[in-house]
Amino acid sequence: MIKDKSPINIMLADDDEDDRNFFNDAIKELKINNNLTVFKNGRELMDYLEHPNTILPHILFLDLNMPSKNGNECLKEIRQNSKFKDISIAIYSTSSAEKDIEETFVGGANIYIKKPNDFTNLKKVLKEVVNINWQFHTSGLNKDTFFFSI
Amino acid sequence: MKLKELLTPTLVYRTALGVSFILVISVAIVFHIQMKSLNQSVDLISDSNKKQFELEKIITEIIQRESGIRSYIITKDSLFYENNLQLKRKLFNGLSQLKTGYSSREDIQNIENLSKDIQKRLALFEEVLAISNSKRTDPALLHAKLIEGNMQTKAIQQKIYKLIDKEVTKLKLHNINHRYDIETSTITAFSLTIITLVVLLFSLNKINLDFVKVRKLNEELKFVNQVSDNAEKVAGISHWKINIKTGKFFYSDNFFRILGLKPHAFEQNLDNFTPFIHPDDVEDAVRQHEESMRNHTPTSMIYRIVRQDGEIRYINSTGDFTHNSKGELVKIGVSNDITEEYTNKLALEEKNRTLIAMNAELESFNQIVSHDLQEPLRKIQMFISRIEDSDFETISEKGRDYFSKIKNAANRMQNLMMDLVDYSKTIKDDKVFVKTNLNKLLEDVVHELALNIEEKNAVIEIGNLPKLNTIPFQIHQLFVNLISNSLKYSKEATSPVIKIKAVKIKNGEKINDIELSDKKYYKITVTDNGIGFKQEFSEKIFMLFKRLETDIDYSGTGIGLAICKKIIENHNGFIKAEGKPDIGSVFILYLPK
Repeated sequence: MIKDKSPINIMLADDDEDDRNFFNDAIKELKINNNLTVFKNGRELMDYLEHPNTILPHILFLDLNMPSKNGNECLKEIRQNSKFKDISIAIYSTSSAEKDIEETFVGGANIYIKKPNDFTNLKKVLKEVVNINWQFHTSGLNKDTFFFSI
Repeated sequence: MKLKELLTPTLVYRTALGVSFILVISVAIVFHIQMKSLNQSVDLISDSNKKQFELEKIITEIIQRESGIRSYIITKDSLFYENNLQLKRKLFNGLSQLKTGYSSREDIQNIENLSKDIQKRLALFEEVLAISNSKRTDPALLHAKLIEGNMQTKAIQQKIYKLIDKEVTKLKLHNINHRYDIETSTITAFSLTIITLVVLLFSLNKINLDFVKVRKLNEELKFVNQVSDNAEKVAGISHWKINIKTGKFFYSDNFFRILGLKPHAFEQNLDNFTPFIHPDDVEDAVRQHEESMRNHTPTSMIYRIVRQDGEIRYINSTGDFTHNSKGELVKIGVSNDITEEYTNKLALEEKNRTLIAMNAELESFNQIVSHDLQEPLRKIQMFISRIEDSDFETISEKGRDYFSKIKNAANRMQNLMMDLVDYSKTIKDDKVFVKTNLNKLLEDVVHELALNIEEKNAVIEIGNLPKLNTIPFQIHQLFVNLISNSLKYSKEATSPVIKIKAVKIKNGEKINDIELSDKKYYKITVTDNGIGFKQEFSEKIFMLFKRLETDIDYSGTGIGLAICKKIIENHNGFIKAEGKPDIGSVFILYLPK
């Protein structure tokens, strides 16, 4: 459980400005004690993560379709580096294609979220995902629990 | 029996020939021996006759002398007595001849005895003559001497007869033996000749029989050749042979026909054939051929030939090495005219390429619909929900009305896109069939639609369903669509009841005029108590984007049932619908076992 004293570190990498705004608004409205850092593409994200002074996030929301290093490439790099082994990765994409889900599941993502088309739903999703007990979730992870649905 | 066996000299022929040869030689030997023994017999007989004759002559001479002396004594006429010396010579000449005729000691002794007797007799003759010629003839002495002479003559005669008898007996004995010999050897020769004849006749008969067989086989072979030539003609194939040892080429009749020529239009060799090969292909073809001839490796090539009228044909030629009946290395092969197949194949490949390109386009279309189009739409919906949440109250009444219409349109567009993605998924060719328990599958479907079912207060009755080979996600989609369809088009006042049942199909049942007696199908029915439809639309409802007009506005996309039809087609099944307005509809699926 997240305690109010220690803020949860959240990162989002998404090239779409509107989506970043929706995400920001939703997190704000949820009133969670958090530090949200936002990146416009995969390269920015990876450069930041690899910086030695960076405080690593608890959860990283990763869009798939991005210019200059896409979500899948980021996922691969992160999962190859043991330094990042404690980061929970939530794929955050418009696509619900079987191929994308399969690939990211095998690639080591923890959950797959299809971007909702309703703001209320977005809030609901984020609330649930942020409050997931990742240890518990990851131990029972399979293809059905991987794809998040409310 | 094989032709080869018939044509090679068998053991039978060799044995027959050998036996005949030995028999003929035996017969010749037997005759030779016989002729020799016959010659000996003739010699023996003439010898014996000569002896008898000599002996008779001797006794005759003596008797004549005796009677001559007697006549001389009576008449004193010297006419009756010849020269004594001459007679003596005659006698001893005869005796010495006789002596040489005999070989055994006993016979020679006999002759010598005879000779002594005769000398004695001749001396007595002289004595008698002397007595008779003396001046004083003593008749008593003469008489006594004459009687003595007579006695001696008789004794000599006796001896001579004995000798003659002996000869006669000897001849007789020899004759008996000789006859026996002749008889047995004749019988032997005769039998040998007969046996030889029989053996020869037997072999002749066998040769004749074999010849008939060979002729029959030959005729059959001719017929088979004719059939194969016709078959080659019909099928556009030909065959050829190259004898490596003799360097001789053979092309079948149809080989020439493929080249657009009459059979055997040119002398069969490589140099006469190569000018027919297309200039672009000839170098490669000849090189492959020569390599194969050098290394005795099989060949397989496709080349073009140009007929005299300029027509180009594609030839598929394959060849390999083997040994013929004489054990010589030969290359045999088949050359097929594959022009039609080849051009068809080219056309097919072209079509395939187009198809692959179309599939790729479909794939990218799928990508566009599922991702690129959804992104802006999702944002529209997102902004709609933002406005709804915060600024809805400040909008005018008319504006709110428009706003809800925008929202409906956006939702409808989203449904359409999702359905289109589903539809395009059913066209893709990654179809993996798995044995599926339909009851289990339907549990999942009902679970997925639980919210919708609850909302409509619907009852779903599922009977005993079979296990079938299916593409599970498609069949899942099928039932989701059918049940959703029934839920959507339910009557407002009645809670929907949807019954799903399966039965094994009966023999001879017809679906859309196609009889299914030879295959085992399951018939699965999805029956509802909804608004139904007029039977005349039973085909139309499965068409893409076709929606039936209804009193109330239902939010359909016109894709759901088209997807169902596609899925059933993917499973080699059939789907049809029966409807009665205000009573309900039945969807009937036929799926192969």
